[in-house]
Amino acid sequence: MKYILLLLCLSPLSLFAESNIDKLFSNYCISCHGPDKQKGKVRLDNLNLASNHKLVESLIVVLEEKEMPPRKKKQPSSDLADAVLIELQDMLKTKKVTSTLKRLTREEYTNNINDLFKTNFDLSELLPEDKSDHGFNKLGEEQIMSPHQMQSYLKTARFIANKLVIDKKPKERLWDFDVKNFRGSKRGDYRTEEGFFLTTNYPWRSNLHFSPSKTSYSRFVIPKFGKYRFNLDLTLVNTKEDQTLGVNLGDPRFPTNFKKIKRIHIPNGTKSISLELTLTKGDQVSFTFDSAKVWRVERKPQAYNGPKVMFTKATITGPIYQEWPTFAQHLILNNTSSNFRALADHLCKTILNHNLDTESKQALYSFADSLTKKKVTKNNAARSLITAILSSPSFIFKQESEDLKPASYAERISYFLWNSRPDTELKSADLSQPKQLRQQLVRMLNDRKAKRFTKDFTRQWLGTDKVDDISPDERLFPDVYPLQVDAMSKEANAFFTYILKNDLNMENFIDSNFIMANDQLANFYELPKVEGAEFKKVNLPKGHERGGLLGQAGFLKMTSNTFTTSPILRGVWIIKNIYGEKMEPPTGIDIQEPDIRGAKTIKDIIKKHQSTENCYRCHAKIDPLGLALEFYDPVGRYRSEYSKVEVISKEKIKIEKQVIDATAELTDGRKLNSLRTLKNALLDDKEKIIKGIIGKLITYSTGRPASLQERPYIDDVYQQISLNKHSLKEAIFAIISHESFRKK
Amino acid sequence: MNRRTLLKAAGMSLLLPQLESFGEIKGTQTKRLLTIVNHLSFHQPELVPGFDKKVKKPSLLNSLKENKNNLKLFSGFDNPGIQLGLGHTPSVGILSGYFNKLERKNRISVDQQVAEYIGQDTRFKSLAFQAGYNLNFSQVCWDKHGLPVHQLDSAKKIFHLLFGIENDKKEQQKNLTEDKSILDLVFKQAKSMNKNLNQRDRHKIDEYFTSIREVEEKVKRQTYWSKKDKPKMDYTVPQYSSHSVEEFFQVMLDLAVLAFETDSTRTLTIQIPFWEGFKQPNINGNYHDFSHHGKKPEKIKKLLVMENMVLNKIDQTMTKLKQTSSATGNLFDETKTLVTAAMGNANAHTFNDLPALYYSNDIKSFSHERHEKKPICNLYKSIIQDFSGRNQKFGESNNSVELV
Repeated sequence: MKYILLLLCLSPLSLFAESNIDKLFSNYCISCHGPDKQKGKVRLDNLNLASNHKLVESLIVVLEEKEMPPRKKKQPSSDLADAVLIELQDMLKTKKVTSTLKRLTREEYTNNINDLFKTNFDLSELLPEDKSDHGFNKLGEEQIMSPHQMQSYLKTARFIANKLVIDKKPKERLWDFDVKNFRGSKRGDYRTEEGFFLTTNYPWRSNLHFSPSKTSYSRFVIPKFGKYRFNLDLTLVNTKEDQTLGVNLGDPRFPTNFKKIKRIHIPNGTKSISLELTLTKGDQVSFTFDSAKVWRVERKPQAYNGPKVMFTKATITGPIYQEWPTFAQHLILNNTSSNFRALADHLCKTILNHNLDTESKQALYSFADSLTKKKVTKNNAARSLITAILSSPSFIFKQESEDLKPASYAERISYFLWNSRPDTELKSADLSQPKQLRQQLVRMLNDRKAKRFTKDFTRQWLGTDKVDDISPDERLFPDVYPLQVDAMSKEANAFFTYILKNDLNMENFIDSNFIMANDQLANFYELPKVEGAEFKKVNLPKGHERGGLLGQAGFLKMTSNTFTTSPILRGVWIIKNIYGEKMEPPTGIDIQEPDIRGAKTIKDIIKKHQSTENCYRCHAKIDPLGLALEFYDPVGRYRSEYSKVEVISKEKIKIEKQVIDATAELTDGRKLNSLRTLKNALLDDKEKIIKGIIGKLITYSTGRPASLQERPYIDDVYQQISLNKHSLKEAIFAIISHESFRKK
Repeated sequence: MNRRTLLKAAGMSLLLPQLESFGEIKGTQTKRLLTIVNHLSFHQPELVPGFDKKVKKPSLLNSLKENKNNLKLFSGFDNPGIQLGLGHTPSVGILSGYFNKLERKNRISVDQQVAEYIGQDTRFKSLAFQAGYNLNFSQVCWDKHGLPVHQLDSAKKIFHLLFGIENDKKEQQKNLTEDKSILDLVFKQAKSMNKNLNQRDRHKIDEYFTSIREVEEKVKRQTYWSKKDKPKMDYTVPQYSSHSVEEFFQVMLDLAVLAFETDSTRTLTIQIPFWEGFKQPNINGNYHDFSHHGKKPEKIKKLLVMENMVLNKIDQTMTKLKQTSSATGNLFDETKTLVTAAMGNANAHTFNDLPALYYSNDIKSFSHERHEKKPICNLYKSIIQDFSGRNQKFGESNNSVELV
């Protein structure tokens, strides 16, 4: 009742006296957004604001940022604007928006299974990828449910059930391969009496795979699911440095489709390597020379005198079962009863985090009874029941009530910090006690499962998986290597992890006096040498620009095109990811990014943006941020001038040098001309940026978009960590201990 | 109104064994769609009259002469839904009219949209073949959820699907039966879960219900057909060189005609994907390289050898369809054929100025129509309308196209 009254009071054209909102609308808005004109397809007359949360949110933002009414038009008094803002904000408070029903993401599903059964399944070929256009794939509204998804659940569940419950221990086999069994692409690899050589880092030219035959091209294919051990005898040639091999799955005839599953560091002097892989029937494994110095050799690969890898012998053993029965088999069939209802109960208890309701249980029982009736073996019954339970909504969907029950609370924390189900210790802890909650947080962050959180979160927050979407042009950037690009895509995660583990200030995301780098990246940034592929902390010399997220080559590269940088993409990236603001491409306008090679054109574009009111609203914010970064080229290296490229032929390009002008001005008049000045400007906005990051963490963990509604929550967290130097770790503690975290 | 439409209207079509209605629609003409995409496009000065003023008689049209009277040629189409792509990659959006490099998913393609309307009564709702092993940039068929439809590139596997006998039929039957009871079980569980949800979450669970029902249909279809013997065909997959574009394409065309002849499906798509090195009796080389002719006459000549071969094979296939009798006449009467190119100009990697060929029994004489800068979705929209009877927007479409 209260709610209805409120609604009536606030609805603009209600029978009550004219509200402030009405006043503002009718005097300042309706002429462009009313019955006569609907600029931007927005109409503000005759609407029920209380039922339109999204519109209310947009109105608040537009008024706060003074984006509307347009600068040239009549402006409302600040008293009126403030009063309207309060009214609008109150409107948001009247209705609590909960998160939408969530299902497990592919990663969560996989981790769940692997944690539960101590397996090492990679389900990426079975379950569709979860896309997230506007944020995180953990949001219910982002998650697609489709027939294809459903069918994949059935298929995946049956796959898992069949691999977990095995009737007989599979026989282990050994395959012995020598040089005559080695196959490649014949363009950058070759064979001599002595061995098989890889020379280039391009899988089309250099890869090693195996044939069971010494004479024909038939390929070796994994015959059965299981763990396989690969032993390779090899020698590094023409090099004193360590090298890196890639392990790839896929049809070696089409290396473009290779799926990289591992990279192996090969210390110089290595004579043989051994690795274990969990593989599926039909898999084909190829090795590539990922640290090679060239992507193609000039003449014959035999004549190439740079670093090479020579392979002389290989054995493959498998499938290997170290323990029998396996842990999973033991866990599943542990219960000795041959009653299938009891087996169903046991499996539910093992697999599901929540008890089934009576009807669901009844339905499962009748499924179990049908198995009894068919007189299937216990193993068969277990497989069928597992398939059924893993396909059921109780497994696939997360169950959360308005106020989270203790079990759901533990689950939410666990999906946040481990991207998987809670373990027994977390489930039995009393998380309402701050002390115990803190203990659990520390324990969980120290567990290696926390890596899944940092990786998944940074991937989705910063788009680190898109770093290599556009490969550097070999003609313009002949000295950018695949392993460097790989390191770029891992830098943000290493940086985030270090800040988290070491209780550091979130301000480091804007600027830091250190970076995280491995051998490749330190070399790329021309910093003192770092040993090995692992990321280590590197203190920066005073005045060095690379600190913080914006100095990272990964970001600079993913926002560029093949030959040119894009100030617009970079600016949008900063607004979306660093400020945490929403930014949508203009609707109804066919945006074709103009050719922005060369300084003159860039300034022209900016001018164009600034002169059109339509474009100005957003581009006045976007463009200066990106322009300030023009001293960084498409692969994220410092440059002192532009290289304007003209493509002459496949092999040849013409490069013309041009002067860079990175001067720009923010809407509030602050001047920028470099990464340094940009970072200083961002440091002024520190509070806004840290709150933005808190918002991202809240969205990721609760599944609720960090809308204005979450402002009090975000403010509380910010307040709490202000006493703790804005520590990221404390922010996470403040997030999970806040009462809003326990709301659906 | 029959029982099925009534139940369908009540949103319950899934509770009915879909295939009970098999053969229900008597008297109406069976309709089929054959779609052929050539990834490396066609050299348009030699295909489109007037494209190049200097070319008096486009030579490629000669290869189409046998069935030219049933052919309509379109040119000039744009594909405005293709964004943010470089090189060959955006080619994946040729049939959907959409591509965005930043998205893994696409939108439904024209062939699959047609299959939604005419794919109910056959063993396969649709089939997709690929005349070449190269998997790069080659996904062109997308389902209604924007997910890739598996494109088969092995003639042996296709033959097995169409005519082969299931090896582990028992296991297949067992799994299908189990699928059925599991779907039934999870449906009940979801229903019970539904009670405790708010309205928004119910909407989410509704998607789950829909999905369960769709899969139920699929399983039903598989189960129904798994009991029926596959048609017997006096055909063995010939030994063909997988290095020859010509032989590969020919086998796929033959299998397509067989699939139609046995009414295994009514929607079939063949793509000639990205080809590099190939060997054929009359010509060797790198097809991709030919397409980057840089306007050099000697390279264009080689390219035209390939394109004449492709078009000639299409022409021969049309003749074959005419020679193959069907329940109501011949296969050509039943079949509309759409031929497109994934690029307008493979020399420059452009995705506008796209040509299209359309074969139909309703066409009585050859004509050429230019649709300068109009979205190719206009053509797709009209084709879909021809099959569905519904005038609905498809992708970027903003108008209709006369198909005759």
